[in-house]
Amino acid sequence: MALLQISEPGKSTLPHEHRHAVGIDLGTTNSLIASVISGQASIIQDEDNVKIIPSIVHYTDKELLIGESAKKRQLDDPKNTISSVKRLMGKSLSDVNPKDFVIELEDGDGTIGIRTNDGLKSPVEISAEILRHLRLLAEKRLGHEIKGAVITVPAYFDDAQRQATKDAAKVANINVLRLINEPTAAALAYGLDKKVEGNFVIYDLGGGTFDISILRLDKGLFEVIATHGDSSLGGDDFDQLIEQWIINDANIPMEDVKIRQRLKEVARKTKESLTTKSKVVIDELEGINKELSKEVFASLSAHLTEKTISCIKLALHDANLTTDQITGVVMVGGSTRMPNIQEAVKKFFGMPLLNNINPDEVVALGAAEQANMLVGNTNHDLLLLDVTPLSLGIETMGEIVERIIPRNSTLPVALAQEFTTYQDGQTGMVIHVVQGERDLVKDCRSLGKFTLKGIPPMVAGAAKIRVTFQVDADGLLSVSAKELSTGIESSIEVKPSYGIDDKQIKEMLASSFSSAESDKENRALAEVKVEGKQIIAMIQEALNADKALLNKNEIDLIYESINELTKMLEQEDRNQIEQKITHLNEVTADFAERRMDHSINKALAGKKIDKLEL
Amino acid sequence: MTRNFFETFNLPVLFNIDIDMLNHQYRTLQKTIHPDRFVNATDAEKKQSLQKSTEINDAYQVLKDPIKRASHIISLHQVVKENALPSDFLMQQMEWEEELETINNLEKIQLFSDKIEDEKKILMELLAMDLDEKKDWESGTNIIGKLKFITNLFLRIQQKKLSMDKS
Repeated sequence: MALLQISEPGKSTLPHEHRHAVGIDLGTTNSLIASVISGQASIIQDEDNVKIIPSIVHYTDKELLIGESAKKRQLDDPKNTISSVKRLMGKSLSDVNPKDFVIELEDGDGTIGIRTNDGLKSPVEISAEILRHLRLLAEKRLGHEIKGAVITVPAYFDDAQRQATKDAAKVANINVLRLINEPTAAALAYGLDKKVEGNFVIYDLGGGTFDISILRLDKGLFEVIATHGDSSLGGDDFDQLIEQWIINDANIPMEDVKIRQRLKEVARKTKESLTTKSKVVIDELEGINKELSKEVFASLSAHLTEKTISCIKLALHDANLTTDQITGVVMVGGSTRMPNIQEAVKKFFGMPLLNNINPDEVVALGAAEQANMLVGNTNHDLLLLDVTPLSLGIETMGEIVERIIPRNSTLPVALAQEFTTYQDGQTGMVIHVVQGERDLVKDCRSLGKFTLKGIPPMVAGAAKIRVTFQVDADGLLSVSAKELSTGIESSIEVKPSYGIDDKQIKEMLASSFSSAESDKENRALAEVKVEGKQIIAMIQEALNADKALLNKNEIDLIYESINELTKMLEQEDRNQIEQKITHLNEVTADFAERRMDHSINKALAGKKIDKLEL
Repeated sequence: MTRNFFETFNLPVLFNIDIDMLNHQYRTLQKTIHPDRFVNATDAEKKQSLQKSTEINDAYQVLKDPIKRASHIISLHQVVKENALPSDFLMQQMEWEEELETINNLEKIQLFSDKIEDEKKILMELLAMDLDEKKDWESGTNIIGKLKFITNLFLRIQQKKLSMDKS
């Protein structure tokens, strides 16, 4: 008998061509896109050789501007020029104070609608414009289609915010390889994964958010052990303090939108100047001539600095570590340029900080490295294990939260909970899912209500519905349900009340194709054909490697399904091709499971031998 | 039937577990089946990977934690139940609660903390004996009940220590 060659599933050995993958830092203030080019992660520049793209979109009835050109319209047309949209992602109108925004907000069916001259826009659509802009930029520069992207989010983003980010990517026609946390990306950029072992703190102060992450590096495993943060603390808050200080005792017409914008800009510039100068004169605004010194600014903002140190203490407590057990501290985010911040953090840990990579670029660079690894361009032994940033719970009697998945649980994680009906013949049930650390529902963030339908009618308390809450490697929640006494699973429908559904995404995607990407049906057909060919190649490869795990009958069934799909690929019927792909996935489900078990056994067995040799 | 988490890591069913080996097996398995390894795979494989990776995390959480590990061992042999704690332990509980309440300086709370930690160590050794040698699930269940209380008490001592440290 010929020796069987067995390869590990997932580690594709298809004839390998370089797959172009990117890392995207979709920031509150600025966004960047990076890719690993000739083994080196680098930021992709636009046609004007600019790396940092302002996260600003300008809408008029005639044109759509993104980035620097949109930013230029901020002063003369502030209502149609949308910045800091990240702060609105995954939120409803009741979560924000419309007075904080120059743009006009309204209730958009659970999400927020922003009124522009081009109609009502959702934060997802606006973010999608930025993402599409970045994708097109990268495709032009690299000369290739992008196979996938790793997009970064603040570690403290809740489920709705992560889901909104992923939706925006879909609308921008980007294949999301993984959402990863910004601090983790930064750690990857510092190459911490390759060089050292120990506990690292990532201090990430951006424009609008603050995150603390503690990572443990040990034998190729890159584990996030604790995260903490404040999703509404960032550089903007320091700007606001300067704004307040400027207008103190001065008479400035704050109802004038343009003057408010101008004041904002002066405050930001003053803060930036204070990173290198010891004092700054402020005289660009009418009726104002003041001087702000580094020391006064430090004391003005001392409470904010202290707030970040408190977060560090909480994260250390969660991780069960003390400062002397920390190997290094990485500084991320433009706001960490502030000298008072640097000094405070250095003093707290009593060690020099890791800050030699440009803090504006570090997140995108790390994301690019992770993207490159995920598509299989590099083959090193690293694995990143992230955690849930917030506890997940459900509402029980008396508006009390019952925690089902505690914060800092390693991803992916799932938990099952059993429910029953309280009325005879009850066929539906609403499960309210919340995220947060507090005991009362009203103090947590509502993720929405999941409606279970199609429960078989029984007397009260007889139905046993097992609801499984699964958080995947992107940190996204999905809910599935099964009625145990009858085994009815498929008919129980689980629908979240938040976010947008696949149909809406497809509509947004369709309406957003520019003329350069014309004929959406042809494009969709072409894409599904590529997918079909890929799955055949992958299954063929799996069969070559592990045919021994199947009997003849099973092999025949798989080949039959492959042949049906192959035939369909020669025709132009997208629906039929999609059906055959689904069918092939179904008939190979058992095979996939056996291969997985096989590689698990092999991994365990291999290590046992290692142990014996020790 | 309860799934045997020790089998997941190819380890013998023991309370005194080889933690290094557990960590090692956990890493090896996640490196093999984590969803990050299946980004380019078929949907069937992705689904499998998510499921297996979730199961391994779940099993690891249980085996890593001594109290959860002990409960798991008992659950492999009998239906898990919560026994009422013996009355002498209830008396002991009240004494400790009172002590924690009245302590007002750092030195004393440190001494108290050390005492509770010693208590915990003794119970852990007894538990290991019950589970690994005597196979006495009844007595094991009782010790787990005591340990749950002590763990919670210990946490509250640490919190009080922290707040005293600040002021």
